[in-house]
Amino acid sequence: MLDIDCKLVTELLTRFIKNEVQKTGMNKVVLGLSGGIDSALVAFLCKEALGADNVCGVRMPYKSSSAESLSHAELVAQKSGIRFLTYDITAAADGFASQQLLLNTDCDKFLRVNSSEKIVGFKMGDTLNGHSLGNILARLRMNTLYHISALGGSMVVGTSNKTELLLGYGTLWGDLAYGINPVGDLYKYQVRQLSRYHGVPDEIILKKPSADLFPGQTDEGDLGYSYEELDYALYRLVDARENPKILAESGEIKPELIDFCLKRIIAMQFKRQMPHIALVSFRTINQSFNYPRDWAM
Amino acid sequence: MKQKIAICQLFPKLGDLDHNLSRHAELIKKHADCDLVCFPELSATGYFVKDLAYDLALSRGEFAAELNARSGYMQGRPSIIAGFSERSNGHIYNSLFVGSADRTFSHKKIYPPTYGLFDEYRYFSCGEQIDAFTLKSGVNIGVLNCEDAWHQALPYIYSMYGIDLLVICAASPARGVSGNAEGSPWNVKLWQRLISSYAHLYGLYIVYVNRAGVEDGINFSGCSCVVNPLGDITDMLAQFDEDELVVELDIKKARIEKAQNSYLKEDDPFLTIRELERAMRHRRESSK
Repeated sequence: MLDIDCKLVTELLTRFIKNEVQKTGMNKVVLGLSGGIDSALVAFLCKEALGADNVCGVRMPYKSSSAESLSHAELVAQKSGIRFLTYDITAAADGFASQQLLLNTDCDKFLRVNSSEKIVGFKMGDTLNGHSLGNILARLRMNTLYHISALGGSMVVGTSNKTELLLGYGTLWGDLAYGINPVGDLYKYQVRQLSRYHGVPDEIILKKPSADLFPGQTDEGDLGYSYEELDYALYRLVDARENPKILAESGEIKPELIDFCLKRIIAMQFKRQMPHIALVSFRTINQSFNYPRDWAM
Repeated sequence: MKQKIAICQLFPKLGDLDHNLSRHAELIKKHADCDLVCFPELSATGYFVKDLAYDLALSRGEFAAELNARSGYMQGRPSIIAGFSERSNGHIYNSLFVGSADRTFSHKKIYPPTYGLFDEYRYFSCGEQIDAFTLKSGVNIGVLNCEDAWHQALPYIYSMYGIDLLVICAASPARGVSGNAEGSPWNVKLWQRLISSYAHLYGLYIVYVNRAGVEDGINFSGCSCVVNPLGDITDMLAQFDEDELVVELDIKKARIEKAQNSYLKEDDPFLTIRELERAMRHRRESSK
């Protein structure tokens, strides 16, 4: 059901990359290499579309990043032959965390800080948890990629797959910020299938996907379901447009999984769209002023 | 009667009328020895025009003049079929221009689709008429604009005009990549099935001119093709990429095929009209 014709999909995706990059006048791309399968596949696809010399993978470790992620990112660069950079974001992230947030007026309620004493300030780092740290790291990586993009005139390529996009498993303006995304219409299962076709090393294909914020973290642990289960449920709900109620009654998919997917899809819609602009005129951007992105390109 | 036809599977630049018209002119001049030079749907503007449909709209006369100024087609041998955004009677249409010397005609797309990734009807009005057109060479043709071809009544009506050749211009995005796709997007196969059946049923040649390239992230299939009156695909252009092909069609064959075609001979269009009206009345009554 989820199997794809890898040769055909490769043709579509490499043409997509080549055309959408070169139309803008650029011929190079830059992407973050996490050591995971999605960015590995995108590196291989970009290499095929533009040539290895025109693709730059950037490894952006934080102090808690696992040694395995770092060596896998390097392995992708080696196997694909693309350009390779490392920029350690630890100092930037820790600098952000160590800075005092001074409360010039009473902001306790605004910041939802519960304290019996009047708070006048705290270090950003005092309030960080795994989730918010993940968002900060993702946005620092976005900053890094866009800076490299501006330096050499290369386009930032995204690596979020369809499973992640539908479930909103990504950081707004972080890893969800990019010029183009060649793999956003492929479920994780399809990413794996296409990765095997492109010769992404087995150790990367077979390991448990992880955001790598702390030891032992996995996507599937975060989401509460395996990718296999999620892909299948999402395919039936989104691609096949099956009625969720009937699907739940059929017993083919656990009702709580269907419920989880639907709730996430709806709650995370905002991550897949440009923000609203208040409409007051007869020509409002993206409402009644509608032009293609590839305008005159 | 032989007809030399150039099929130009173009990759237009979205929203750059000047650039695209110049490309048309180049190809028209290159194929000056042909009887007909065909371009895809919205070949002059690109497909996902959105508000550009309005900004780039020209009257049929203006389009003919622009094209003639660059290509001199009115003095040349080939007739031209090209896609443009047409301003007519205060409306904007997704039209096919047909120009033969100083005679012009336009087919206004009857069914601009608004489903899935399509949003044409938001920007274009619906055409309301189909007419056959006789080329300088005396060949009777019909033209359909992409989605029109999926409405089977339209080729049927054209068959009543006794056309020899149906030109279908398209901008068909590639989709459907499941494991059994065998290297071609699923909808390419659907198109081929559809037009092979029409060619065979109505005993005519079909030239299918699809566009190529990527626009707003969407790949167009290419795979333009020629179908003979027996329903065989005889020629096929490149998948996805720009391509050109000149074919020579023996129109006599279509006429012989038509003359022998028992489906057409025995078909009773008046019965169709009568029974269709009755079926529609029945549908209306039963939905009350």
